[in-house]
Amino acid sequence: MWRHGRAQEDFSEEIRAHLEMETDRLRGEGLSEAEASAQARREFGNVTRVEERFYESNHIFLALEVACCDLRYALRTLAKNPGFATVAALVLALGIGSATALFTTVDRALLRAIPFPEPDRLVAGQKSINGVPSGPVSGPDYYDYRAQCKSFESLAALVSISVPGTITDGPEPELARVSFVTWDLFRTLGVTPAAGRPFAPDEAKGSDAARVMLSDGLASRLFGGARQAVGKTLHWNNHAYQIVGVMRRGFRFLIDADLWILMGRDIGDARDQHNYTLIGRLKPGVTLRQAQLEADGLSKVLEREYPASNTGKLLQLTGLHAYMVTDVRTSLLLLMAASVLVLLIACGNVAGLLLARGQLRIPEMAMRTALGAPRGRLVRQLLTESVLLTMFAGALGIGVAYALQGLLTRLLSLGQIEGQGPLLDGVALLFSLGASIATGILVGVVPALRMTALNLAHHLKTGSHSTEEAHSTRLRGSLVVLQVAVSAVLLIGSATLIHELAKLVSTDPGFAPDHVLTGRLQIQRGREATAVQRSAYFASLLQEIQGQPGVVSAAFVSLLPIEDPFNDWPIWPADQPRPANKDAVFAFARWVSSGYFDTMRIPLLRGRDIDASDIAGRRHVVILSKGATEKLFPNQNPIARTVHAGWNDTDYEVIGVVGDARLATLSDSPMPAFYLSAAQAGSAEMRVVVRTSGNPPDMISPLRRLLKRNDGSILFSEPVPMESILDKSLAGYRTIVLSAGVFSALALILTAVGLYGVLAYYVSQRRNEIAIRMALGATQGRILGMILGRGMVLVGAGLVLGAAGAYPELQLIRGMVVGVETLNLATCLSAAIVLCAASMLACFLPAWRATRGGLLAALREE
Amino acid sequence: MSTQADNERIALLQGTLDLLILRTLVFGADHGLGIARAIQKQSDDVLLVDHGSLYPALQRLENQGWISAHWGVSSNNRKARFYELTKSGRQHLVHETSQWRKLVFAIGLVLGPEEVEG
Repeated sequence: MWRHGRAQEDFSEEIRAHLEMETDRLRGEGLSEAEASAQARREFGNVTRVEERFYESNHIFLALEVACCDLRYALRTLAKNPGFATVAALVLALGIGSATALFTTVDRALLRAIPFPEPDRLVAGQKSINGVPSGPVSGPDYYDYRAQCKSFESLAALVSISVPGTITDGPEPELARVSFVTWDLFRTLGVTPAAGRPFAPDEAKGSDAARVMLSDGLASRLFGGARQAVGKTLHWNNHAYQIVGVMRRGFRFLIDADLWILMGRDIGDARDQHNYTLIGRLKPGVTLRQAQLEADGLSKVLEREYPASNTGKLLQLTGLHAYMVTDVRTSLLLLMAASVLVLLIACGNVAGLLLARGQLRIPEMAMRTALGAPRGRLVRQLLTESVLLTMFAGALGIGVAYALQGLLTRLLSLGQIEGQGPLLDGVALLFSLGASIATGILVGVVPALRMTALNLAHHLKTGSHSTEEAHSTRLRGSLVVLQVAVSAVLLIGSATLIHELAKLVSTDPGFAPDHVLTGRLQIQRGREATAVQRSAYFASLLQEIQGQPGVVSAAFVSLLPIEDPFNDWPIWPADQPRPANKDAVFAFARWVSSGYFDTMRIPLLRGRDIDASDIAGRRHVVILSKGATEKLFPNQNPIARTVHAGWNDTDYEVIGVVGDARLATLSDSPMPAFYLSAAQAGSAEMRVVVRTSGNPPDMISPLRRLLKRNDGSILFSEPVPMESILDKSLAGYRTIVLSAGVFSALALILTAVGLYGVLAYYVSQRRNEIAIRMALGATQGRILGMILGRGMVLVGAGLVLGAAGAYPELQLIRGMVVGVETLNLATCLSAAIVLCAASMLACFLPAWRATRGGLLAALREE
Repeated sequence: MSTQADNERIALLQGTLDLLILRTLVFGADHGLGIARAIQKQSDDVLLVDHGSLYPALQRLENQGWISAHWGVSSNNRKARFYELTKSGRQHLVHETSQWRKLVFAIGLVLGPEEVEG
């Protein structure tokens, strides 16, 4: 099949004919048959060599043919040991599969460019105060940067959070989230709408532009399609907007939004009100560093001109891709490292297995070497076997990766990258292939080299290979030590993460989230036109809700804890001048109705709660959190004192002090907060918190029925139990901990199996010794001890190595997870204990079986 | 068993061996052993053809199409593979022979007239 010329047989026949003729001639000269034949052969030279040369010249694809030969042989060898092949393939499949799964995630989130033209030129801008990145930029600052910075081709902005509101164009009022953008945001990104046209620069007039870009989902729902929606009018929060375009389906940028409203040119904020994230496109050839330097220069100028608001404030520029994945980057990379470690442990196991089996094949190798096979050929063939095995494993691994998809999707949604097509695509398959081949070589090379490095004469003479065995056993022992070390590292890491998670979950948020249902209430435009009317309306609504059976208590609040970590304002005692931003106390501003603290079980420490007397027209009141009090009035009684807050001149009289509550995140310590009377503000939108006697979700329908008004004057939306909000905030962390835990468990199992294998082999080699010992009177206990001791020596060495490796790992985790304390001895110890327990079990089994083995039988077999 | 040195020797003489084989076949078809013997005889036993390199050379010439082969019966009733010159082989022989003569002449010029010892 492979030759392209004469048959090998034909050539051999020609040689034979030659030799016969020569033999004839020599016999004619008087030699005997045997002598003539021998001489003829001698004169010819090496017949085999000549035939081989012919073979090689005849088969031009010799290398390929040899490879095919190796492949067939490898298949046969694996088929002869299906048990080993299956176990090894499964073990490796777990490793290769999880590494593939993580790699595709890393690829999508970190390696692939974001889906905008020339994405390297896109940057995100946020502010930093005294070097610490701290979120959005202010409007006036944005205009200055935009006007002065020459590095940018364009510099756009968007409000950093989505704003919820009501759309009244559908059959029922519905909630829609809005992202406010400057006219050139989409142009900067290089995104055009799927229907309609982009915003035009002259549209953003004054402070109310009345233009909007719709999402595809909303356009389909309300207008029957993208094209139909263009040019129509939309009413959001009772304002009318003209729809200029519709974005493509699934489009999302930084925040979830159903529509994008054009901001007016005059952002009427103060210089120290920070609401905007900047998105810029650098001019071609300008580097990020250059742009940053220019921005820093401008920041210094602003600092001089406006010391009150800009001291220590810089504009921090980050590549847009990096900005979008900041949260997930470290976690993903750490998980990727963990999956590779698991793969390495699996490799260790299979390498150990191959080493053990290799011992059995030494006679085969010796024979082949004696017959003239060069070492390279044998090694190549053995490597073909191991690579074939790992390719099977890789194929199985695709299945594992597929199964892990669910986990991965959650990981991906942690970042802000939208899913692009099926997760297991060409990249995944290519990585799997590459990983399989690399694994095959890694796993096979040492056993192959060991099996073929033979002192031939010694082996053939004695038929034993005890030094070889000793080497091999030592190698396997070292492999196990490494495996234990790696497992220890993974386990300590997981234990630390789990410990942190447990801390977070058990953190006291400062309020009681159980049995609390939350929701959003919006008074529709046209109803209750004045602040007083709105307050009165909300007050009566609250009474209705409180009267509902199943409701223990209810109240209103402007923003929910954890869910809405916004609106931190400067606050200072009224008898002092307004401090510069960098000196001011910042506290979360919240408007509440009376009964809020009672409903949320936030303790009232001094003074009184908001009550019916705190309505519009009376003096403004405020309740401070404990932390705010300590900062504003240290060691003094704050009651009856006056404070100013935010950007107006209103006097607020302190009427009470409540306990600290975590309003932003569970991991940080509580920020100071102050609570104003909702009745005195008269907002059209409030969040409602309802403490229920039963299950909060059971209250949703009754509340909906209660609040449904035939005149459509109030919209009730987003009913969510408070506990779900807390859970959601931990969800991302939970996923990471879960993944890390799964990897650690895998690593532990694989290591235990490896340990078992090594000890079982050790025992089988020493059966006779053990039998003799027992015959001479050693107790079962002593034998057990001897074997367990050997095992635990390996484990001990591994633990020491692992402890050394764990230290840099913990540093990494400390960088990644805020709030991890110093080396927690308890977690490290617990990890070590788990590892030891599993190891002891793995060691115990072969030891136990050794002592149960039939004494006489062993001796007889000797 | 062929060594490195053997391989070098063969490489140097490869073209030459081809030439000799083709020349030998001018006088008629012959089998491998016969060709080797003929060369040996013609050169007064100076050129001893290594039988191990003969057959690969014959194979090479056959692949190039300068000789063709068929199985036949030898003079002492043994089966043998006979080779004969093809037309292109004949042309190649003429060309290579003239090249060779030119080469020998040129070398002779460089080496100068043979010096008589003593």
